[in-house]
Amino acid sequence: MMVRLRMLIQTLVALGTNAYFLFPWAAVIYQGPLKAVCHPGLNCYSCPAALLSCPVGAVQNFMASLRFAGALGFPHFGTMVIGYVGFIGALVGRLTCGWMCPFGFIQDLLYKIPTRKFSYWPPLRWIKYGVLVVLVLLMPLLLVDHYGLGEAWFCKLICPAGTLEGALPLIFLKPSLWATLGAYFWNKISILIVIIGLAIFLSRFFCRTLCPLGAWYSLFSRMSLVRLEYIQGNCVECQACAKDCPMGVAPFENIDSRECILCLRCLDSCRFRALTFSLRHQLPEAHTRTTSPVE
Amino acid sequence: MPKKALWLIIIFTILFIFGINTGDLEYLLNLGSTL
Repeated sequence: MMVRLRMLIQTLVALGTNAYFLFPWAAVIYQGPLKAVCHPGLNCYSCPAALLSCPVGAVQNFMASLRFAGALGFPHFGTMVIGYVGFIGALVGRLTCGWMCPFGFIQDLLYKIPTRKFSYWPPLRWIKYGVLVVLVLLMPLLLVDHYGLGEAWFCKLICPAGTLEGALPLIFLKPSLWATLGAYFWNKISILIVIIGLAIFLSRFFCRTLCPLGAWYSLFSRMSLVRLEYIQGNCVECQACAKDCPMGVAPFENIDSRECILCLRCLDSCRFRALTFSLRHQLPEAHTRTTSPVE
Repeated sequence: MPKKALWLIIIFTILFIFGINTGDLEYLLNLGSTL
């Protein structure tokens, strides 16, 4: 049931936040008042149908212009965006990745392609924290031109969502853009192909390895208002939850794993109701609440 | 209710409001013209 509900919500969010359906005729990106609002997930600003901004792109642009704007006396630290994604993180943590991220949804669909599946090498998950710190925060702030302006390096070098949702549709809408394409574009096309390819064989490879937004939200996994709850008394250690988890998490070992995207598939997998979704309790005893088994 | 989560929600809400009042909203709206 959770799988179907999640897919419905992912579809509604992806379509609802990319609902500028005039784009084939306008052939420009939407720049109306809704662009002042950030998407909670990774969704490219430059997608012709996007109504909202991308929080990762917005933070990079704030960082990139901080020194230039600071020298002119009106620095913008991007506290609005940091407050926004921090609020979401504190409220629901990585649930956003599981239910509201359009690029996560695309990867979920790719993983449905029936092929042989491979397991993920867990140490790779640390890369995304480096991406967040280096490419999203430090490089845009420190690598500046003589005016003091930096670049959105994550968007420029890596972001596959930007290539898929922004660059490719824009090129097909405006063929004149072909003449402007350079090495950065072909580098990003190569990365997109690799990430799409890997997403078919490895569940949510990009989210687990490279996504800076996932890295940010994961910082709240152990303190967000909502969480999974493990009822030890009901668990028979069949490991069905771990086998079904798209992020390779074993909830019975680490209920507050930073990799858990709260997709709640494990609630469907567990026939013994050893897992529930609830508000985080103040008392630590909630981690291993013991109740009588239901079956 | 977890105190830590509530404090974080309050702090980030303040940051959000501070950002709006210091012109982040206009900056974000004008971002398209700089792309």
